[in-house]
Amino acid sequence: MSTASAKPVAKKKRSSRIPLTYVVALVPVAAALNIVGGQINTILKLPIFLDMIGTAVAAIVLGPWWGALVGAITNIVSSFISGPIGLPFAVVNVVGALVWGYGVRWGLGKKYWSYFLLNIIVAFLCSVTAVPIYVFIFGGATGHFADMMTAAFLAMGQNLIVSVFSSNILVSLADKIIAGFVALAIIEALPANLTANIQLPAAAGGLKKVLWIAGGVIVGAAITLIALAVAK
Amino acid sequence: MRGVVIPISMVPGNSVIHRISPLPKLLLAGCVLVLSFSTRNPAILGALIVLGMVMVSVANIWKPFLRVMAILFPILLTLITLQSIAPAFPRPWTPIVSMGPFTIYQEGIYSGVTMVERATSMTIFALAAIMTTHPSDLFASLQKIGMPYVLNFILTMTLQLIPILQKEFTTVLSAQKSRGLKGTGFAAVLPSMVPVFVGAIERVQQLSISLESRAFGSSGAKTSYRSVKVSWVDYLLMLLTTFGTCGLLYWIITDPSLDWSRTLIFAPWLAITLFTLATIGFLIFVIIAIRVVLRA
Repeated sequence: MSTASAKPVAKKKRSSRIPLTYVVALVPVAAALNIVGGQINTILKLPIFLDMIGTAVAAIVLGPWWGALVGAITNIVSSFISGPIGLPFAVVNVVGALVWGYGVRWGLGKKYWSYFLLNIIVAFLCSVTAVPIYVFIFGGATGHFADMMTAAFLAMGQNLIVSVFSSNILVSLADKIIAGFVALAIIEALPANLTANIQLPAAAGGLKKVLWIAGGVIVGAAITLIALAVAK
Repeated sequence: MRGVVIPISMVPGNSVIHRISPLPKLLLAGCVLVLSFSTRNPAILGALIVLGMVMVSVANIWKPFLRVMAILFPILLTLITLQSIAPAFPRPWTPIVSMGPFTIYQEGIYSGVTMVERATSMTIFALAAIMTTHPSDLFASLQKIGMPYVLNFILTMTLQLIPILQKEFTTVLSAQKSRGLKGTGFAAVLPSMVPVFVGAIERVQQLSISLESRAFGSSGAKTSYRSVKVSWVDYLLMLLTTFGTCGLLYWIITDPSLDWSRTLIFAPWLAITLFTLATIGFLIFVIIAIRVVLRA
C-alpha cells in the first residue's frame, strides 16, 4: 500500500487512547488523592478544601466524565470515612470535573491566562452549585472555616444565601486556582504517553511554566488571605 | 496523620446488626436519609435518632460511635448559631432577643434544632451501617444487585489506596522537615502532592499490567474473595424498611399538622441557652481554626 493511498488515521478520543485497565487503575488513585488531600486540609485546618486536585488531573488527562466519576467516588468513599455530610457535595465535584475537562478540550488550557480563567470559571460554577446545598440541606454551615466568614457577612446585614455565596466564592477561588495549578504540576510529571495530546500551558517548558504555576498558587493563597481579612 | 483523621471503620462483633447482610443496612440508611430530608418535624426526627441509638446499642459500638460523634457534633452546633440569626425560612420571622448586630429568631431556633436533628439522624444510621459492615462485603453485595464490577473494583481500590497515600504524605512531609523545610501549611502540603501522586502513578502502571495479565476486561462471571449470603430475614427486613418508609412518607406529605414551625414556641430562656451553647462551640472552633491558620 502506498503512502499516498493510505487513509488518514481518524483522531481518537482522549479516553480511548489510554487502555481501560490503566484508566481503571488511575481513577482510584485520583479519588484517593482527593480524599487524602481533604483529610490533610481538615487536619491542618487550612481555609480551603484541597479535595479536587485528583478530579482536575483525571478530568484533564482522561476526560470530563472520568473526572466526574472520580469526583463522585471521592465524596461517596469519603462519606464512609468521615461521615455523610460530604455526600451531597458530590454534585459540586462532578461539576468541577466537567468544567475542567470540557474547558481544556475547548481550548481554555492552551495559554496560561486562559487556564487561569478556566480555574476561576470552575470556582464560580462550583460555588453556584454548592450554595443551594449549603443553605437548603445544611442551613448554611458545615463546620468549615468559611462558616466564620458567613457569620461575618450575616453580621454585615446580608441574607443567608448571599452570605454563604460570598464566603464560599472566596474559599472556592483560592481552592480551585491552587487545585488547577497543582494538577498542572502533577500532569507535567506524568508519563508522556498519558499526556501526549493534551493542550496545556506546559508546552513552553522550562522555568517560566514553573513560575506560572507558583504564581497561580500564590494568587490563590493571596485570595485566601484576603478572605481571612474579610472574616476578621 | 494517624489518630487525627475521623476514625470511621468496621468494628468487629457478632451482634444481630453485624450478622444482617449489608443490603438491608444500606437500604435503611438510605431510607432514613430520605425521611430526614422530607420532614422538619422535631418529634419524627427525634424518634429516628432514638431508633438509631437503639441500633447502636444492639450493635454494641457505643465507644467508637461516640468518638466519631464527639468530632462531628460540635460542627453540627454551628447550624444552630447561623440559623438562629438567619433562618432558612420564609419571612416573617418572630424576634426573641437582640444581641448587638444579631437578632435571634423563633423560626431560626426551630430551623437550627431540626437541622441538627436531621444531620444527627442520618449520621447515626450511616455510622451504624458502616461500623457493622466489612467494606468488601458491602461491595460484594452491591455487585449481587447489579453494580458493574469495574465500578466495584474502583471503589474497593480507592478504599485500599487511602492509607497508602496517607503514609506517603507523612514520609514526604517528614523528608521536607528533615531538610529544614516547612512541615505544615500551604508551603509544605502543596509541593508534597506532586511526588505522592507521581509515586502512585508507578503503582498504577504495575497494577494495570497486573490487571491485563489477569484478563480484567474479559467477559464472563466474576468471582469475589468474600461471599455474602442474603437470607429470607434480610429480604423481609428490606421489605419492612421499604413499606415503613413509604408509609411514613405518605403521612408526612398528607398531614399538614406535622409542620410545627409556627406552632412550637421556644421559651426565650431556652432559645438564649441553646444559642449561647452553640455559639460557644462555634467560637471555640473559630479560635482554633484562626490559630492554626496563623501558625501555618
